[in-house]
Amino acid sequence: MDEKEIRHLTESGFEITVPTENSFRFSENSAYQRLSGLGLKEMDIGWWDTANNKLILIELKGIEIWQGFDKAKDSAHKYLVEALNGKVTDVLLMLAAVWVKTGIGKEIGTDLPNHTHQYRGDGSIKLIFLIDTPPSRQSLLLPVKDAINKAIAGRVRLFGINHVTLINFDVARKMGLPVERRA
Amino acid sequence: MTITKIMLERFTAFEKLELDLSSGINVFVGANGTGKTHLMKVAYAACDISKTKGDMAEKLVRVFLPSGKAIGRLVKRRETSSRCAVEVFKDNIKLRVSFSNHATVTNSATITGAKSWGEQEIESVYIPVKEMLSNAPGFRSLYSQRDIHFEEIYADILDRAYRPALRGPVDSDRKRLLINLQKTMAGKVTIKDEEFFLRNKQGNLEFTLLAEGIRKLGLLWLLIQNGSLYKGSVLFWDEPETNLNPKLFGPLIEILLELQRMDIQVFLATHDYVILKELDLRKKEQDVVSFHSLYRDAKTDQIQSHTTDEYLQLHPNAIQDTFLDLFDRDVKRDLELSANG
Repeated sequence: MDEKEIRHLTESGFEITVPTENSFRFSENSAYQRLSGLGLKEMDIGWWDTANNKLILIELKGIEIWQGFDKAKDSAHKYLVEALNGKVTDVLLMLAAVWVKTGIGKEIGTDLPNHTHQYRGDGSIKLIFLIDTPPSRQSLLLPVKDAINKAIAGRVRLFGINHVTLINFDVARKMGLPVERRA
Repeated sequence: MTITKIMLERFTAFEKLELDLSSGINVFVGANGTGKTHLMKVAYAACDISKTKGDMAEKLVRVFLPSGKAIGRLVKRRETSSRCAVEVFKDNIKLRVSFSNHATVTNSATITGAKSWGEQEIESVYIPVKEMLSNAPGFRSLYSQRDIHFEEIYADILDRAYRPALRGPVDSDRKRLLINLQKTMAGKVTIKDEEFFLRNKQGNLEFTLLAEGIRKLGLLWLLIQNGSLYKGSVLFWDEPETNLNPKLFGPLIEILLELQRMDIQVFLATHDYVILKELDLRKKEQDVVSFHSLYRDAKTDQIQSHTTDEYLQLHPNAIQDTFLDLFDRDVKRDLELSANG
């Protein structure tokens, strides 16, 4: 495939490689950029997975995820749950705006692959958080994933999503996601 | 026929509790001292006397073993005179027993509904935390002849384990479960002179030489093979995770789900996250599973319950909270290390 047809995203020590045609970044969209200052959050990259007929949205997080965390006041899992659920909620709202074709929804939709311009049915969206996790903490991600889903289950089910995925790099590779580690 | 509801008033640790039960798997989660085992023992006692036509008050004493066998010691402790009530329901059939905290003998208890309760028998099995099969030889005769200080659940489970196989061919569901268990524990269970053995290519291995987890699976194999666990039975299992390798949790949960699909009502008390998560991941849409969280209310210090069909919505979840606390402390330690260079 021609290099122009491939999108590389390097973020938080990971690199994602996906076809340009089927992928998008909210952060590069001018309509989103106008709203980001109003507190609207996004996820790093999305693409339409043609093999599985799914829209995949992924957020890559390294140690910088703890930048706003006050370890004297907050609990780490609550901080993480709040941060990630805020992103999920806002991304789903943006997709809904695209689907119902609000004025700004149409603008956002111009940068999104055609397949994502309408709701494709239950189970057609996958939301993934890839967290760079030290080996000692990997087994503790599952309860955190449960806590995230417990907090957000009602909202994501409105969009035909059973659960949000929280994984480390090893699991991402096992899932076949197009992600590599980068120094 | 399944146990549909339990109501307890001033009984052991409970001030007042009303718990609706599912006909499938009921999982009790909660910190120590929140009454998980007590609930299962109450329901088991009620099931057992439906078969034996015994006296509920006596069964409670033998199962709970209060000091001096004084039944009044099962009433929630308080300084004044008090009376407790225990009610167990099979749909609209109710068995009720009540007694005062001064009662020392079981015949002072008031029991209602025993006749209609006994008209529909419930086969039941209670698997206690401590494994008994390896200590079985001689125990039953000792228990029946001597006044030894053992909760009756230990003698009862041996009675169930020693039962001969059911007459007739083994149905396909039970056959499948037995084969799965045989694969997992690499053998079948045999009994000789009250002693249990695992029979495989190596010969007969005494239960005392087996890992305790394998003994547990062996017990389950026996109970399915001899029909103690059959359509309409009720299984109570206190902390099935004890001494079981976590790799076996998945197969074990699969078996429990299969039993539930065979119309066997299951009660589990657990402290283990993997057990809960295996159940959450393996249960299918048609499976009937209820998660019951038992907890002490922060204001009243009384035991309360919260029931949900969805594991994620279980609240409070003492087990998950423990793991989240570990996560919190692990993150904090790492951040402190990175701040210190």
